[in-house]
Amino acid sequence: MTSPPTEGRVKWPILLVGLVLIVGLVMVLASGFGKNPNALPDARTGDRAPAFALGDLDGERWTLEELSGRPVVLNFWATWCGPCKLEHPLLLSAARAYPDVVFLGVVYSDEPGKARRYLDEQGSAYPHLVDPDGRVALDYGVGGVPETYFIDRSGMIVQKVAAPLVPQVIRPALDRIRAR
Amino acid sequence: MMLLGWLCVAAAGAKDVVTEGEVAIADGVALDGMPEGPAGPAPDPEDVGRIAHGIAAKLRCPVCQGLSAADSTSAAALAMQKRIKELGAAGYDEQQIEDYFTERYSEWILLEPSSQGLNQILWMLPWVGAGLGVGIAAYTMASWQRRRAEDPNRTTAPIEERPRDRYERMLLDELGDDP
Repeated sequence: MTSPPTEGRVKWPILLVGLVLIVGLVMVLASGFGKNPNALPDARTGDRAPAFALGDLDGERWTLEELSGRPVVLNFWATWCGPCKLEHPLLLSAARAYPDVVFLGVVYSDEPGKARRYLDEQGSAYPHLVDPDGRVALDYGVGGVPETYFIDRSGMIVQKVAAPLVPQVIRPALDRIRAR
Repeated sequence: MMLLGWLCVAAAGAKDVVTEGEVAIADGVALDGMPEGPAGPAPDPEDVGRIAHGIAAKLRCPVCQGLSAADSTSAAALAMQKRIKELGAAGYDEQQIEDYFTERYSEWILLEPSSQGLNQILWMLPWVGAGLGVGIAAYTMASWQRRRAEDPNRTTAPIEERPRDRYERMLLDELGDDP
């Protein structure tokens, strides 16, 4: 009398555990590979825009509080930033086309003198604030430049764009903050 | 002294009620941008740099690749270091400072994810994996032992006392036991 052969038998519990582990691993990998691990998540959209009180390149003081009731576009930029130069003409024309929106540039990690020279050459249609210690950038969760925050009339951040602005992006964003 | 004076300026949120003479702002008054006051008393000024460095080492530099805010010299990291020092000098503890940064940058800013909420799975997974491995190994060894115990051809008798090998017996059967 010999015992029944076991070699050919399928061990279902082990197969099931293995299957669950593999499916789980594939799902985790698929979700991870679908994202940029270095991309900074947007933690501020939907929040109240942090208050600030900064001077512009001409020495005039600006506070967000004083702009209450008006839509605001806050654009962080620097002269050493190539993509900032790409979006500059678009911001100029948008600021001229939407006079009801307050456009403010924030010079990020740059010398005010350099920023002023750049604007003299390339043109300027709105004030540019100086954030000397990067504190306002920190409050807004800025991870690099260019970064633009669209703030509605009630002072809420409606959208953050962490890339050079293009017409397809800036137009709907402006419409949203003007409508609210 | 300069640091304390500067703290008065930094406490813009409490500007209306705190004058420059009231340097004890750290005791319970929230600094500008903070939802609450410091958790404890202000540390010894000599310790602030060390404490701040320890906290910055756990935070990601937002503009660098894989560097902590303590290791980077980028403008963003320097701003973070400065802010951590301000908050640390005022008595804000590590958790409060981490909360300040996660509110602005999400948990992405933490080099080591917190062990709360869904992140608990991350922390538990290595232990679950190790337990599963030990369990599978124990089960496999037990089944090997059981199979050996149940093997009818297995004998504990010394080799020289064993009956004829079954292949030898089968061979002899086939040959009809004809010597």
